[in-house]
Amino acid sequence: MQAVAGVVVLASLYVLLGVGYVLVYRASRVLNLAQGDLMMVGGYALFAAVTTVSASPLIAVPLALAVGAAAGVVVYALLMRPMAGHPVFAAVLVTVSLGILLRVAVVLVYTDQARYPLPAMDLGNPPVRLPGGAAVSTLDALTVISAAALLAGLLAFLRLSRLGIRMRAAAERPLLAAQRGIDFHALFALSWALASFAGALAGVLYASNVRLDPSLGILGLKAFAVALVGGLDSLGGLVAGALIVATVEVLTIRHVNPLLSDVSPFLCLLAMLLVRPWGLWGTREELERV
Amino acid sequence: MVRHRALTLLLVAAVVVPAQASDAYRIGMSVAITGPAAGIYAPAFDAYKVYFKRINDAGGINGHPVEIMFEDDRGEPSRAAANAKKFSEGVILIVNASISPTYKPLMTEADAEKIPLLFGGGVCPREAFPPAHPLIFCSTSFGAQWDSRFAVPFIKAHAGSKAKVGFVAQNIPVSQAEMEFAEKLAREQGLETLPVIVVPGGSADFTPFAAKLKDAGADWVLSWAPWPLEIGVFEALGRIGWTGRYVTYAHQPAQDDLARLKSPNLFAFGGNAMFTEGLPIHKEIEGAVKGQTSHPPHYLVEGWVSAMVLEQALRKCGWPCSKDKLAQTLATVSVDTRGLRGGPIEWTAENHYRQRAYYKVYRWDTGQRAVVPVGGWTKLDVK
Amino acid sequence: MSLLDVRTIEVVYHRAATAVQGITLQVPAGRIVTLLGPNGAGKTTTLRAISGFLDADDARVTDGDVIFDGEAVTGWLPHRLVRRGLVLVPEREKIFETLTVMENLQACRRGGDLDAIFTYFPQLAGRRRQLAGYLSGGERQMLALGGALLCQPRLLLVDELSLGLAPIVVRTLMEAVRRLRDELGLTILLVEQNAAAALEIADHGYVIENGRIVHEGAAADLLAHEDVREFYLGGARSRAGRTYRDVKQYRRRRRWFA
Repeated sequence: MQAVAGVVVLASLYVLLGVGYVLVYRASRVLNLAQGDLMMVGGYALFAAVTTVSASPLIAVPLALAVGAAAGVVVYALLMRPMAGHPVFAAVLVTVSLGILLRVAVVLVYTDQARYPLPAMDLGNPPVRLPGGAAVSTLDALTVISAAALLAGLLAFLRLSRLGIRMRAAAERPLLAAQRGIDFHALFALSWALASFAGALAGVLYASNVRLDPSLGILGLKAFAVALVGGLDSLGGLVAGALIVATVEVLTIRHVNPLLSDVSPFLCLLAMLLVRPWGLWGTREELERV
Repeated sequence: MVRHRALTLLLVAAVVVPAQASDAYRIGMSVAITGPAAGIYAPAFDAYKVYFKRINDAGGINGHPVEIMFEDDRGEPSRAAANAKKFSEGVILIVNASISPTYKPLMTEADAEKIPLLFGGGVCPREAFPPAHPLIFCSTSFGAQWDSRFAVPFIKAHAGSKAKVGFVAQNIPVSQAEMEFAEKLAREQGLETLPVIVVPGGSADFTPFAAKLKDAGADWVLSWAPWPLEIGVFEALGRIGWTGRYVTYAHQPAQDDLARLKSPNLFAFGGNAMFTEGLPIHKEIEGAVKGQTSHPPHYLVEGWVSAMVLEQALRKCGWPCSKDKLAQTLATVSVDTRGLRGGPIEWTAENHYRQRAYYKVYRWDTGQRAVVPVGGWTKLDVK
Repeated sequence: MSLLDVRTIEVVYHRAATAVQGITLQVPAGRIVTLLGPNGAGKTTTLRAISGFLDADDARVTDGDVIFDGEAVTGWLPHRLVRRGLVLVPEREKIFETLTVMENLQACRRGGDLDAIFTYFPQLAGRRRQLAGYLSGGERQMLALGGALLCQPRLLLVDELSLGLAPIVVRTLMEAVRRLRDELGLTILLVEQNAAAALEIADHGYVIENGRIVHEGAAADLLAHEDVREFYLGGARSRAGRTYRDVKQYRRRRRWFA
């Protein structure tokens, strides 16, 4: 039962991070390899908000999330928009450089000492008892709830709202969307904002739950493998992929060899690439782009 | 940060290295100022800088200044080897404060040039224990096997015979070997033990490992590894609602996390007195390093103790002091640590670790809302 | 006063290849104007030049002007032109295949009266929830037109409406286009390879070849023109037979300096 709880919590974290990859890829075919570092930025935004603006979580958390979303817009406007019309891999390299820059900037300001925003907000993280003798921390539970809420919200937004329809239209055929009056650059910026919001949310939750340090970005890399397993343009596939990878990871640690923990997502990815390269629910034709 | 360090290095070199003075004690220090392990070892660089500047400002030792050549090894063996080559011209001692992969190249070079090697910060190599290698010395507070020889009886005394004890190691040989040793020791002492759990150091999430421990029914857990892993596993255990007791080696950041977590179930034991005790020597160090380091003062304690030992040895060696004479002198030192350790650091020809190892345990006291010692110093004879 | 006034525009792709040159045409308000010509003549380029290029197209209007309702709109981005009422129904990639019919219709930024569309294209009404990717060729064209109409255009540009469709479907679509002009007063620029169908509903026509306008005139005049009939309408020239010399001189005859 503890294992099941652990899988769900881990999968939720992967979903929060993976949403960023899926949204950006669906919109613009770009692999946002800076997603993990955007998560880290979200965590540090929280820490900065707590230490410089207000220790109240009601102010610091929304502020950190807003900064995270804004970061996405800025990244799009300054770095990704000028790459329009250039080959996609060039844009991907830009995201790689961005990730490195973000990490260096954070280390310069905060050093690589671990930080702890939660005590600074004067909050605790007590365990939540679950049936079967299992327990997870309060923030673990919040992570699961956030991931579910974000996913539900995104699916509803994309399926039901006019803006969501236009986003999907722009993602499928940017030129036709433009010819129907849709400013797809604005929509791409929106997808980046949503992606970095999700990353910042993951960062805020993780930094409060575990710790905050510049190496947080490594989780983004594992989440990238998860997104690929699920199919890079499918939110539904992301959930399935996250659950599968999290299960493999937890079971590997328990029963096989703990040292394989960090490698598990990539082993799953390898297996998926051999069997079904476009991921669980990805679109077949996406294969060429990746 | 890197730029700051390089600049400081240059400035220090200008201060501590007088214009090619042959009338100075020349020491080489290979330290991980930058690199992944810098958080742990870079404070030793600051400690040595401050310590020997004070000495030089007061006139040096036996009327001669102490000149330290600092070299950043970044935790890389190749760099350590290169540093050793640099030092081989004219230094009478090499100090190391870095991770264990840097040991071998330094020891090879020290052996070849017959230069004594002082480990002050990293885990003590086997060669410092009796029977000691003539050139290898270690002042670091933690040592393999001796720490478990303290911790396991401590657990037994507090746990009672029914307790199940778990062991957590990092996936590095020294930590794994130590926890295997501790598990065996615990079994011999009649405790019920669980197999050692090895955790990859870089793990972002320790929860699955904690879950393993919890599900196995561990009442007490012993962990001996670099601090981030020790404390990370404890925190993960706390998050999943484990209520057992956790015993772990108190590396330099320990007092901060004890105060942050405020858990009465966390026992940190070590050879250094925590600065929370506010001893005169603690205040002295805090005063001396103020403004000279970006690290909290208590992070400098290993480096400071090592510098104290070096100072004593140089004084005893006199002038002139060759590397051979220094090596012989080191084997006779008895250093009063003025409260930083539980007792003096005494070396003999056979024992370059210490004649007696002293340990103290600390935990958070919810009543007093402070980090407090659990009992006094415990002494172990090192044979 | 023309709703659309294109003055000697030149379009260059990839900063190297000139696709069209010296294109001049006018589309009076409330009329259907057709642009005829063979494959690769530059018809689509002309329409794209009017309706706007994207950065990714790597194409620019390097000379001349496009005046829409008195406003110079040369080089404007497509979505901006749509807001002014200039809408293109492209030749390929004309619908969103992963969206439903309903979502396709709702996609346009400006939004209009959905029910009106269903009166023009009743076949779509029954397929609202179906994924557009599953529609037949004719239905796709209807959806494309419908989607464009919901952008509330004042000028509709249509690229190759009839391409790949059966004659009866073409007739239905052309009829719908004619109704748009007659009932809604919509101005339409129709690019077509199927000259016969286009000229049947158009008021005026241009012929473009090798990137240049080579002929223009009222639709009726074009229908009667010898060369138009021979090259685009499938009519034979009024000669008894064809000698070798006639055939040999065929290419030389393709001069439009009439």
